[in-house]
Amino acid sequence: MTEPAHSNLAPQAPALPPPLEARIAAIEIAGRTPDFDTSGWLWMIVLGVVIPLMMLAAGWWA
Amino acid sequence: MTTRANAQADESAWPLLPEERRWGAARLTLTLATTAAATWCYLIGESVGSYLGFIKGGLALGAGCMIGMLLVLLAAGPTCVRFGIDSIAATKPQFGSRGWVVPAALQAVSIIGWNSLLIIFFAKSAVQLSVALGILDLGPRNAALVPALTVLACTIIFAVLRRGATGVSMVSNILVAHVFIGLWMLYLLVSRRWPELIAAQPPNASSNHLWNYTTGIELGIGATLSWWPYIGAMIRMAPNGRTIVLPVMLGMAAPVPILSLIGLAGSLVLKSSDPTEWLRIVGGPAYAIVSLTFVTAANFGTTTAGIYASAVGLRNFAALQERTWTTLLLITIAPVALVGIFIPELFFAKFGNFLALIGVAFAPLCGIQIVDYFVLRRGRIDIRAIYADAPDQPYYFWRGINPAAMIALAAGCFTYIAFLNPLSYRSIAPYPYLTASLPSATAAALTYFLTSLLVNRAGRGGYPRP
Repeated sequence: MTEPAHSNLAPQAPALPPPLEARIAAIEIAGRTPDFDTSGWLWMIVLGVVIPLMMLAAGWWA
Repeated sequence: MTTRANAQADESAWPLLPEERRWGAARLTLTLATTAAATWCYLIGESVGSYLGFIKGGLALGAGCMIGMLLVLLAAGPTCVRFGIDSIAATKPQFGSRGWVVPAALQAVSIIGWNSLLIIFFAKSAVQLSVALGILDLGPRNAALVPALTVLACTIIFAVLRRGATGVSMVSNILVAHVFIGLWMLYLLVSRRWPELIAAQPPNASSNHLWNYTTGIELGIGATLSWWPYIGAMIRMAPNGRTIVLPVMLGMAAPVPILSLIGLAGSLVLKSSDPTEWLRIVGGPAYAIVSLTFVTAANFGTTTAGIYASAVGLRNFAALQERTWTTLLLITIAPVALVGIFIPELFFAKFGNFLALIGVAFAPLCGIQIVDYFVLRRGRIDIRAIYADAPDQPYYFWRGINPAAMIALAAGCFTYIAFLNPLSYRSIAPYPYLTASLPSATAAALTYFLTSLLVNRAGRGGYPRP
């Protein structure tokens, strides 16, 4: 009686549902969608930092 | 990919394909503005009006809303917009392939809780509107109409959302007009009562002016942080990050402080944040009818978007992935309808406190997501691993849970409550200088960063090597 041979392969993840697999493959082929570009960062800094700081200063001295 | 599959994509939690993400900046702005503007604006304004006057309060609240929105955008925005996924799916790299149920529970309780409140507001406003229009007589039996109108509203929302995100957008296109009605109401009050408004003293102001000012900022930050559960389901319909920044920062963050000025002004001058009460005083019954129409429309639009976001979030549960969209909508709407039918008054009286406690979790959640995406992963997210729950997958961590995220979330919540008790408003000495949300997000981010170093050393999490 011998021990069953262990596989050298890494355990495989259970397969994703075929429609999801196709969807992810299509996204991977399409390439990386960018998150924020330079103008996006600029607007975030202006609207999320600069203008709030100006509003806070104006409100404090009002 | 079949046409049928494409048509159902926005009803699933799966990533959207580039060709399915067709919302431009204008459409996204309309939808976000309609979602953000609701009765809670009056409540926020009234809260600020307890501590600050009109100008100081308006500026503190506005600044707080913009800061809070920036945090939400930085937290959920990058992953949601890159892969077309919702807020809950975007938490799997941090919380794990099973640990995401914690943010999912926060989302469900927050959205269903808020929607129940808004739908009861909607039903009450509709009853008041019917009385004002002479359709109904004034009388105690009108209270019995609230459950019936709740059911009617839920039925309409259900019918609208059978069309998925298109239904949300369609409702927004019609109801966005209420934002302009709100601006008109604000103009009315400000133009007719300006001297009183400037002279009005906030009733509960502390002797510490900095504390009052910081509380105005904190209320703004807290209000917009509670958009975290909603935002992913909306911005994933846009094609890229460039499209979402201005709609989120202006369409979602700006209407809240502007419309909150209605509640702020009303509470300071007329001692009532509810415009349906004070517009009758200022302009007579005709103005009250306009105001009631505004309240009815505003809450209906927000609830529609909330139910949609919550239904998409539930799709992340494996047991619900194969269910029909109709079933999912029924599961999401049913608690709202049941609350409106059986316990509207009790819920109205008690649930606000619970929602305030739930709200403290969103600041740490944002801190965790920001440090994970920008610092630890440097923008590298494995979209395949988000949907795979297996021990060899990077977001499996230990049994599908990342202890680093759990510890960081707890540390952030503890920090918030230590800085400012959201129920009693008791605070500690640094609070007036730091707010409560910002230290909470920072504490969670730092804790997450440090504990993730250990997780990374254990070879878990799929973090990129330096």
